[in-house]
Amino acid sequence: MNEERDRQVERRLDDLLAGVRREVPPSKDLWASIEAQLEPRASTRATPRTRGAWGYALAAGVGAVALTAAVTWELATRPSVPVAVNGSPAMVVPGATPEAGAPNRALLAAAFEAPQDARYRDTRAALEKTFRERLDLLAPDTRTRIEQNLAIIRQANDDIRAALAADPNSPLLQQLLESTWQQEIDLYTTVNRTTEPALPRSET
Amino acid sequence: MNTKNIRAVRWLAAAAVATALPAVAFAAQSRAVDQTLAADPQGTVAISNVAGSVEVQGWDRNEIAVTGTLGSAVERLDFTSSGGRAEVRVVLPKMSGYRDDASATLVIKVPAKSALNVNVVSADLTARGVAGRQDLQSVSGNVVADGSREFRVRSVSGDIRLTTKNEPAATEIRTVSGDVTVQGGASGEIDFTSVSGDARLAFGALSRAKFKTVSGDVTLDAGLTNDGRFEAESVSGDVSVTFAGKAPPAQYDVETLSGDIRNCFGPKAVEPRYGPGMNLSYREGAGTAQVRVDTKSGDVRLCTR
Repeated sequence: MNEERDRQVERRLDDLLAGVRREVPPSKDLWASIEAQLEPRASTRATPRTRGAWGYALAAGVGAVALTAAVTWELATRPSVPVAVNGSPAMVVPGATPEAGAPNRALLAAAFEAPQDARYRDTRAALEKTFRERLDLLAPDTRTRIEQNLAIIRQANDDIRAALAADPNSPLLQQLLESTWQQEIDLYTTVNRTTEPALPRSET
Repeated sequence: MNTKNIRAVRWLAAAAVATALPAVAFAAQSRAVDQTLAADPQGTVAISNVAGSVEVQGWDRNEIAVTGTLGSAVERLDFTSSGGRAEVRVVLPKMSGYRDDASATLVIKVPAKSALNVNVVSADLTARGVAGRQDLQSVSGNVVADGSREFRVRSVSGDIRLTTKNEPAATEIRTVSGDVTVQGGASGEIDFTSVSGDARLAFGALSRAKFKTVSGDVTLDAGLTNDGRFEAESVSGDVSVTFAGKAPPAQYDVETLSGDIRNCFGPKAVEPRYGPGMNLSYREGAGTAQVRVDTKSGDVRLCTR
């Protein structure tokens, strides 16, 4: 399991590093002047210029290490966001709480959480708030069925996330996880839209 | 008539009145609806009702007729028709709690080529003989529809029963726990997503079929066009496919982590020497079509008839 998570972390870092620009072309062709100076200095000890190159290499190395550490730290300490709210236990991937010496678990959990985008979260929270208010307008047996189905969706979400912890690269599980988020939003939307109460005709 | 008989008659009369009173009161409070408006023959009709029932029927007139009954707690019925859009909406008052008379029973006749956009919560929904695109959404009400070549149906726990028009049809269904039955036409496309709802479908020949379920079972009886694509993915749901006629000329890639694969044609599925699971990967004939099934613990069955 740990090996799998380590691979996941490595893949993420590889992806991030792949995005770093590997070559920066000079603004003009410097080769002619380099060639002119190369011959007389070939047998001498390191020149100020080559010492400068070593300096750049060292700085680049330190930078790469710092970047890697920063990325790892950011992902490992990202707070986990519960998917469920309002009376049901929050669903968090097993092991999502960062533990000493086990930052990969948090990294893995972060990958399977609901979208973190603030607009998405605000919209979802507003939809759920209205949904909770409107549920009171429905017949008790309808309310019960809706709650049961919400529980089914959330249980499925839980199960899929647990399965993803064991098989994090499964496209099937990732797609199904997304579909459970969508199902929940669909449920809120349908109830809210259909139970919209009367407004004065001028407002409708 | 002696005193005893008179007393008995009085009691009977009182009992009859007491029995009839609630019905009379209900009749007095519930309101009948009977309205008709001109409509675009190919326009969109949007319908919304929380509880009760909605029955939509296609007819050959360029008008929409709404009949039925509104419960006493219903605020009003908004019925408008303008340009290419009509709306029939049961409006509830701002209430603080549930009232059991906040339902409506509606029969809505619309031009046969209309498109539908219907939202219900617990109301049962029937749409018959409407040829345009049907976009139907229900929470717990059952949905029964036919006559269209384009369905998009979403339900939470309501069951869905569709009969598509006998011509190329596109059907998209999403359900949580509702069971789905589709009697498809000669050809078409299907896109089905469910959490725990089961699907039972029959088509002539599918060009595209996509199934995704968590624990729902999928049972499909259909042909596959020569360039068709069939994809089914499930966690614990079983996938059973019966192809019409010969096995489609396709590349078959079937995989399960802990389920079972049974196929009535082609080579047998193999179990890896190390580790769990079974898989079946081979080409049938020209291999122009594609059949891909992936389950975690669900069983897979592929056969022909």
